[in-house]
Amino acid sequence: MTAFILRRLLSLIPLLLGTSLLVSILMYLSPGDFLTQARAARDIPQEVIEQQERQLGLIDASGAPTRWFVRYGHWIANVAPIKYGPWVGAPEKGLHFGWPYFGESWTYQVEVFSLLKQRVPATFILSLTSITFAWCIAIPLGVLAALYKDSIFDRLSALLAYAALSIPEFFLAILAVYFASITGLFPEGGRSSVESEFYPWALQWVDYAYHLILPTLVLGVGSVAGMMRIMRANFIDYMRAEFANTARAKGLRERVIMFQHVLRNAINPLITSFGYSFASLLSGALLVENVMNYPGLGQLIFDALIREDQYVVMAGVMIGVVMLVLGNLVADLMLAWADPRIRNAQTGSSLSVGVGKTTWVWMALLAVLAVEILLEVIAPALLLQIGVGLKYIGILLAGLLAVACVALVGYIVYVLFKRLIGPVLRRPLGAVSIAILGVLYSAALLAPCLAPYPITEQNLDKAYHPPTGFVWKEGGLQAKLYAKQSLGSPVYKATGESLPVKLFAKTDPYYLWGFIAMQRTLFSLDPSVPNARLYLLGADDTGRDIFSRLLYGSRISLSIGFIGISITLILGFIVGSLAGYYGGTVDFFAMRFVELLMSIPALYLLLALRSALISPELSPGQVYMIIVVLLSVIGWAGTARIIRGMTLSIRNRSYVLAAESMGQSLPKILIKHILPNLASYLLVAATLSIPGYILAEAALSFLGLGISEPSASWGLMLKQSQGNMIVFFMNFWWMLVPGFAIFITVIAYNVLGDTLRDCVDPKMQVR
Amino acid sequence: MPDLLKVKDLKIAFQGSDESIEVVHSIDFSVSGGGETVAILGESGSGKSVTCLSLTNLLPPAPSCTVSGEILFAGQDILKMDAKALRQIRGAGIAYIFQEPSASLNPVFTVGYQIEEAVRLHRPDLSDAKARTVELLELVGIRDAAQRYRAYPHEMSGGMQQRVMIAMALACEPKLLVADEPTTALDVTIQAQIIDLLRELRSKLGMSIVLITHNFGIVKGFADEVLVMYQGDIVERGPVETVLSAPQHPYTKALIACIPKLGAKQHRLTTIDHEMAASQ
Ligand SMILES: Nc1ncnc2c1ncn2[C@@H]1O[C@H](COP(=O)(O)OP(=O)(O)OP(=O)(O)O)[C@@H](O)[C@H]1O
Ligand SMILES: [Mg+2]
Repeated sequence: MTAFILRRLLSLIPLLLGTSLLVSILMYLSPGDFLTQARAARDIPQEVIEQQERQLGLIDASGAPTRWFVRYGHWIANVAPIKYGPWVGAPEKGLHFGWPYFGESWTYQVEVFSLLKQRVPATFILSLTSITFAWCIAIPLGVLAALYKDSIFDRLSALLAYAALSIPEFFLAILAVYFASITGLFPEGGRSSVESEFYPWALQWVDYAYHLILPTLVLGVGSVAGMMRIMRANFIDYMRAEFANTARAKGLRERVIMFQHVLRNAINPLITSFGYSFASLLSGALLVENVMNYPGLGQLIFDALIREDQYVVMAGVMIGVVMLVLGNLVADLMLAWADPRIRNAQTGSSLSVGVGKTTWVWMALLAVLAVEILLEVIAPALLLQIGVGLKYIGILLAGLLAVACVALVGYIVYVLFKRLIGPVLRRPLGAVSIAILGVLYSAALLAPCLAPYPITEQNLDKAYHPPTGFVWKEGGLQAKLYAKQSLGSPVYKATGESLPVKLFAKTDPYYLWGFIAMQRTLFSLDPSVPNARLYLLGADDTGRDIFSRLLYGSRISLSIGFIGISITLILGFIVGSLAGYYGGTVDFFAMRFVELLMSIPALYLLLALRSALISPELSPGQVYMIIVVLLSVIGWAGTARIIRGMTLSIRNRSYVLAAESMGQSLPKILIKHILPNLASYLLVAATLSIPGYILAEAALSFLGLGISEPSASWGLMLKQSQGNMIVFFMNFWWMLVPGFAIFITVIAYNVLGDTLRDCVDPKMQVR
Repeated sequence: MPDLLKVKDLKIAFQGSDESIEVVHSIDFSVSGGGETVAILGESGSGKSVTCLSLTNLLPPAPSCTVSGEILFAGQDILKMDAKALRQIRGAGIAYIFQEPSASLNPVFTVGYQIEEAVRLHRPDLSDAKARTVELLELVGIRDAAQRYRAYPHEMSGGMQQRVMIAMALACEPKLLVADEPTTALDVTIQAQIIDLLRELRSKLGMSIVLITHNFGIVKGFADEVLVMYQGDIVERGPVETVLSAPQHPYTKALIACIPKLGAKQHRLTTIDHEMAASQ
């Protein structure tokens, strides 16, 4: 057991080195640095900036920018607990031991370590409380739902679980803050009250606990739903297991069988997920921390990333990786404690498995790095040319990939219509979700015809205009008009006047889909009346029509999943099927790469990549493409792993062997024999993964890293709602509509995916 | 000997997706107490396992499975019993050994615990349940019983697991032991050992046995009476020797022809012709 723990801890070292290297390269590649803003502000003299640069180590003694590997070397030398002077971290000759020194935060001008000391416990406690909350709720609910399968309670809890899984976390956080601000029952954010310093310590703790309640609930709800579903399914499986029947045959009471024999078995998969959920909560609480203003690690890393406060980012990511490994270790230990079958397997496993190959992987990576460093020092021009060459190869590959994607998606859609559309439509839930998605997608396609106003049209004297009401007057539908109660305050009152709503009235000519000339929109008010506006869903802070923005924003949210998932699937299929088909070394390298990708918390990877690519001159279209590509590049790993497993099991079937023996070429075998077997799986996986893309885009835009103003996207629109509601203490509920739009879309996809899965194979493991 | 178990007009039906499917059509049989052994033979899916499970009402509850008829155990109708009375019969009156020992033992508890559970349940009078458990383990021929008490099922071989199952069944000294293909999952040498063990225990403890099997070879020399089931009906019954020497039903004939005879010149193993069997 000790050997096992030790081995796990040792595996941290390469992982930490790898991720820190990756992060530092990414930070180096991202345009600008910590001082970019200071440089842009013209009032700071050049000398001050230069002095700062020298101080921060951004330029060396001669005034040239320091190279990334020099910076990274310094960092490693400081962080290493074992130092060897005078090169590694210590001024004097010989070996020294010391605590890692993480450097100083440039923003806060304090040691990174002291920052971490404040933030890590806050996040740690929040993770712990929300996991405890999730376990305490999910397990009893799951067991009850299993025991009373198909009862009203079961149906209801399944429905709630769906809802909880489909609601974006940050939207839930916004709702919680909104709830807190309306009712005044809970604090709206922060970790403690302002005056808590003067409280006695007991009261201080109560104050902390009070502030923890809402974040805990918000973070916990998603896990409750997921774990409850797992628990229910496991429990039902084990209720039918043969050992349960044996126990029954012994004459045991049903209660004893359920709560001892069945429960002990059904809980094991949850224990496995504990480590993962712990690590992901620790690093993934960013959005909730952001909305609820909770001073945690996520918020710290995020701010540091945006400001390019390098050492904070590095230290934060290191903490995240350590937590991931420790969390998984704890989970493994707990599982070994709970499941005797694993206990023995682990302690007895050998140390040498894969060591040879792993060494090769690291050697290869190091060699690539060494060549890069060498080139950068000796021949920077050549490096630049190689860079350009790689870029063109990349573009070529991307083109090929795009063609493949279109083909694959076409194929899957063909499968869908040929085999599955009938059974899906025959199930009420499937039919409803398809109908909802149909309406949403048609609305997105027809946005120009449906939207009464252009999305950028501001109307500053109508900020926060409430949704328009309608009256039936003079034989037609009329829209009420509103006026501000007093100048300057966003409170409106109906004036009592109204204007007729015109259907299919003429407006400025426009092109639908870029080539169909149109002149009419579905509904509008008489344009000749100045300053009369029809706000179906109210107006935002600059008086723009939320309904129109929602329609245009849906184009982004609804398409991003489609495009993203097709790239993910094709990457996952190519890598996964090749790895599964060839096995051996190809398999080994592919899977290690996949594991590396999966071990970095996706959100941070996304943020790091995104900030590496961010630059103000990008057009919205380019930003959109970058986001899609990033999301799918990060997301394909899991798919690849599952496809590999399936290929592995298919490849030894006789028809594949027969095809092989007849000398068919590899692509032909993959496409003709392996793909059709995976098609249904791919379809289900695609449907169930699309929500992930929608949510990720919304989260990015919400954090200000995605689609930016004045374009519209659902996440971006929610961002507007966030600050304002707290500032004004007002009930602008219509600002929350985009959140509900995301919610409905996601739930429709989830329901559709589950229905599809039930039609294909109810026992299929997808997520 | 009076009848220990008497089954009359037993029908078992499962609820299919839209109609109920009867898998056992009105069968009758009886087992007398004090060591009589009845073997039930039949091909896969003929309804042997569900019949046995119904003996203590272990089938899924009402809407998905309906059992009708009468199952009299020591004069009481099992199907009319409430849960409490039924628990008394289970284990103490009728005990089971199932086909797949690895699936029938709970993987997260030690075998000792699982046996002791049964001992405590039905013998609350025993002060030292653990000693009794070790005794049972020794009885079924497990060496180092005190050590093995703490073993988990996965640490044992299939044959040992089946011995543990037998020990568990014997924990409460049942009057009737139902062994549902106790040897199918085991390899041939172990099969013989398990059957020998059952034979020995039967004579030692004087319990009756219902043995389910595919294999006529096992039945010979072990059972007193044979029932042959085919697609939910008992198509033939009688003393073992009679059925073996003069089988009436074509399915039985085919089954007997399947027994590989040592030294006999046979080029192909006979397989069962369903058309022919069904036409009877
Ligand atoms: N839980 C169940 N739900 C629906 N049908 C069932 C269920 N259990 C058994 N059956 C059906 O009842 C019939 C009899 O099954 P049973 O298990 O008794 O066969 P068996 O004779 O024991 O076969 P084997 O030799 O393979 O064990 C089969 O057709 C089976 O499909
Ligand atoms: Mg059976």
